Amino acid sequence: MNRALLYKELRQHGIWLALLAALSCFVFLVIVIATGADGSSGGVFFGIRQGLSYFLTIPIFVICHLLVAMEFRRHTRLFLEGLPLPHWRMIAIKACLALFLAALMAGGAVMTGVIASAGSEAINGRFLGILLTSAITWAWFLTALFFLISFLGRYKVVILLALIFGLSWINYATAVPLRDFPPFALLSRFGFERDLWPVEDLQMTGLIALGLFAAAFLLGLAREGSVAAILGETMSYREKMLLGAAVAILFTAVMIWFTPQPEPFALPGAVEEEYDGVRVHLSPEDTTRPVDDDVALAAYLARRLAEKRDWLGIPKEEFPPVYVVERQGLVNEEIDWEEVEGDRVVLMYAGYRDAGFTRDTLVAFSMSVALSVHSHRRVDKEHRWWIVCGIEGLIEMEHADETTRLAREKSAYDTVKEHGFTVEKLLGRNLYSEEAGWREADAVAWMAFRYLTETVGEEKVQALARKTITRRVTRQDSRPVWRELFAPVPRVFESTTGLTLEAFVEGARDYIITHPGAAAPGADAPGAPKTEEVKP
Amino acid sequence: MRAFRAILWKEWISLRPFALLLFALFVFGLFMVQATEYFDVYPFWENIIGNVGSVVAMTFILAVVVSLGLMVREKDEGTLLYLDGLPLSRFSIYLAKWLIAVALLVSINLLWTLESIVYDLLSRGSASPPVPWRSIGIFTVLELFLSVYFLTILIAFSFLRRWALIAVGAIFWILFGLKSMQVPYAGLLDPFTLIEAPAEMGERWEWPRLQLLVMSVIGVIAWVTGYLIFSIRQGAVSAFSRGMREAWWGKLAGGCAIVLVAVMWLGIFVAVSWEEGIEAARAEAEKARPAAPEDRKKEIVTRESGHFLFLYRRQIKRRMETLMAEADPIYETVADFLELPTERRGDRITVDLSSPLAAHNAGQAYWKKIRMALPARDKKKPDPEEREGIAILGHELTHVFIDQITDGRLEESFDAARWFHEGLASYVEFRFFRDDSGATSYRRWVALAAKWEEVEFSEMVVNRTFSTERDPFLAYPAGYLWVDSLVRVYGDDAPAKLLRALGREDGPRKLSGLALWRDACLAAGFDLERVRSDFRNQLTALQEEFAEALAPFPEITAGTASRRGNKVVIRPELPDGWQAGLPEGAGILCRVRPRADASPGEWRYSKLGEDETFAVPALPFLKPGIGFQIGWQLDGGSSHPVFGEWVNVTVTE
Repeated sequence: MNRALLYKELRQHGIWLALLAALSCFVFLVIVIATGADGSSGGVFFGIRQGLSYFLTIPIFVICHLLVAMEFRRHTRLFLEGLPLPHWRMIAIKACLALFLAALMAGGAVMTGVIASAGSEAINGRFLGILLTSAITWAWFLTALFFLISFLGRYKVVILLALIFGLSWINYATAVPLRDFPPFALLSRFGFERDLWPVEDLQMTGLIALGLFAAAFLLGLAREGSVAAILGETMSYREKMLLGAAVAILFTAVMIWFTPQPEPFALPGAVEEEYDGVRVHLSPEDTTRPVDDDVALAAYLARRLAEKRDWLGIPKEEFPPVYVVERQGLVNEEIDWEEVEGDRVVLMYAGYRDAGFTRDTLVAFSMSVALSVHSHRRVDKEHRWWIVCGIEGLIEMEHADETTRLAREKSAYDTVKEHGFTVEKLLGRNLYSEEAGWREADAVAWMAFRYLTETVGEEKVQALARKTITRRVTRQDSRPVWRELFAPVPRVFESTTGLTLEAFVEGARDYIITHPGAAAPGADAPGAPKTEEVKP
Repeated sequence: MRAFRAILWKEWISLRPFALLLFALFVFGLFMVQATEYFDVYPFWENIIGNVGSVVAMTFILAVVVSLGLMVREKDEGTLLYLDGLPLSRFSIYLAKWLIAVALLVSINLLWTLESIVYDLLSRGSASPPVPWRSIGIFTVLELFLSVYFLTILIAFSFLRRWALIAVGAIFWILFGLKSMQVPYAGLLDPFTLIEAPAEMGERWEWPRLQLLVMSVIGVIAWVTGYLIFSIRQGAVSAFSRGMREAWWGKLAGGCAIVLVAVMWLGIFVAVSWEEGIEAARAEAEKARPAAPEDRKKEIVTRESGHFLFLYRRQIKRRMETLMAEADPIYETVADFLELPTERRGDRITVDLSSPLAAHNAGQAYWKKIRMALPARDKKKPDPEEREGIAILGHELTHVFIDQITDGRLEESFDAARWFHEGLASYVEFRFFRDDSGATSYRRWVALAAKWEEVEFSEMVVNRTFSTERDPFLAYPAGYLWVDSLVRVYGDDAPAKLLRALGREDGPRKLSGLALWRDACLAAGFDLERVRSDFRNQLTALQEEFAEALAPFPEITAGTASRRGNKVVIRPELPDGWQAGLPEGAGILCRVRPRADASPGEWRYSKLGEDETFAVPALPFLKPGIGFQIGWQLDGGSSHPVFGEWVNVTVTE
């Protein structure tokens, strides 16, 4: 009876099966020839591996479709069920035939490679054994998978698409190393590993294939009128639409909510100081010099940052750790910074031992970058950044000596005289920085905040900062954008300080004009080049 | 007219579920973006123009979904007979269906574009350049053109029923093959290249007139073909198509068609694979043929040493004996330096010297396998000790050991690690297997590149941009210098420690960019910033050391391009008297790319011609926007020219 069933399959699908087997051999032959001619690949078995991975899925899918799905589509399954035969035997014959053909194609592919390599591959018994077992086990896995999928009838395409997209997404967007897991591991070093048998991968792939076959038998043994009947019917247009939408929504949602793992960050050689929850790490460029100065600076930085953090009302546990790497040669007190994917840390590069780069400058810049990190770069938007720069100026100049203060006053005075100071320039800070230089624009922001503090008092300035630049922002949360749209900075400014932005700018301009300051001794005369780089 | 309105309405009703689905997806997308993204930092240029490939792919997918059942469903479900009973021509029915489908696709694309424009306006700052309305307009028109084009073409193919997607796939592969072979004008047939924005936002986006014309003609032909097929009445055709589906001859014909497609595709694949053309392919086939008894020189010989399995042709037997005598010591040297675990030292590495290699390629390394070639004999520079072959083997062996020690982890993050792979291999090669001249040449190369501000570690770790914006080969000297810094800062065992850290079992997987190196250095107990700092200092010191030697080589950052007959002529802005200070043997050359993301295989090289210009064949440069890069050959013996930045220009007629 087994023979009769086998003949039935061969009579029904013989032409296709023969054609597919021949076509597969032909394709592998061409792949082998092409790979031999291609000087950029790793030999014939590299080509065979590509063929096994991408091409072999097609003939095996078609074979399973012919042997299983066609019985449903043409309802010939009903005739088979009428025969005095156990149902499992019919399915088993189909499975065996599919497995035989798959093994034939995969084994044929390897043997084609062996013959075509013509001595340019060192073939021995072990190597050939590894190649054959890996290829055939992989082919059997594919057979088991498509055998099961063929029983899914109307949902076959949807599940196949979901499988393809899902695996592609896992492979490209997640950290899961698919190629290390069976069955994919069988092919990851195919043709290049000649000594070690992939025993574990072979066993696991075999188990997976067995599981898939068991599921396929479970579905296949269900009687007509039940699961099989439902699966066998054509999908309605509405059903297609709903499924399409569901898959699309699921895919979008997974893509959006997928969060890559945070990267741990540390500077092993850095000096580390901690004060009231603020951790500061300083990494000096010259590793041979004593670090006493750096330890003192880190301690100062931590203490001052903690003080200013509390003033800004940022909770202790939310304040990011600060890493400062010394980089000499950054001119004009410029700093540089890098983003650390997933980890909220301040990573800043500064020539903090250069002349003119005071420790308060370092505190002020660290606080600005910390606010940027804390707010997920939201404060970098220019209609908010001027507030950060104003606060930064207040921090930087808090303990500055008279000469420095006068020099900054002069810088602000010269800038306002030359470039003016309007609400547009205040809110359009990027352009203002480009025109006047970022250090000069900073000086204006500092003077404006000095004026604000003197006019409305420190409490209101503090309240303004707390309302606009200190809110913690997380990924995948667009509320800050909506908040900024419905409560723009000018409105918040007015409600907090009691001043309109226009009145504030006008007052600040007059204030700056009345504080012309004085150039620092030895500094260049007016007309010195502006600072060119825009601060991050 | 009324009847036509009625059929339009009927088609709308028919497509309404899909339209509703699309609209629902649009609203869902809108909601997702506005709930989870900072949509006020979504500039149109970066967000849409920077992802044109995805936009076009999405348009194609939508066109597939709409078109494949649009016409044929009426025939397959028999409803066309009812429509024939109405006072309407087949032309009206076809036109109505086509119009509704076009309206649907165009509407959804317009909605998406509009959404992006709104985000762009919200993202603008005071220093933002003016809104590129012209570019946005051209993009929108081209996108809509593509919607109509895809739809029209796919409708024509839809009459092939279940073979339609196979036919479309075949055309895709054929086009891909033709483009890979760089067949002239093949690019004009590729709809996926229609929307090619200028490299910079400020540049003027020229209409791809020629491609639009070609695609319009194809579109019209497809439309008419589709209409003609749709107009054919039932009868003989149905019998034929049933026969195709069910009779043995139909299956056989279908099978033959598949074979034909496969043959065509693989034929193209083979042709593309042969780098040196058919002649070279014949020569290789000749080589691969089993050796006749009288021609034993070509026979492949297998020889074993303690650590290697060599495959080579008998004709290089003498040279191989020299190399093989050195092979095991090479193995030990590299294995000791990289601290290859003892348990891994038992397996033999296969070294294949019998197979052909790609042009200008000295060797390639894979998991436990090396493919390499001994350099051709040069009478001027005799090399009886096979020093060159030894250096290549040492270099490739380093690659193999990197993979072994890291358990293949760097393959997963190859984009972030290419510079390190090549850098470490070059370091080992120069340190153990060559004299100082190799390292000096690399140092001078990287000094000049650094002088032009091309060497920045944060850029090296993203190979796809580093290679397209700079010279892909710059990864070798830059990586070499970084590894040198690593050894200077942390000692001789630092590379081995770093490799072990990269390959540690509990380490994170598939890290990219800087993250990979931060993590690896941290795990190895190194401070990445110290190495970076030393790297920067070395670059500065090298620039000072070679300042005089490199002074005659300015970076060329401007120029023009014009079309003259069948050539594109590049005129770079060279400084006055640039030739006066050049050392003996130094020279200049130019390479040209058709677009910013063109692969190196599409670049064309030219030597300096008359009037200080360079000329390349015009055929691969059919679109007006191109880029060129000027390279300096530092002396006659320099192995690789040093290239400056890419200069984007518009070709004038």
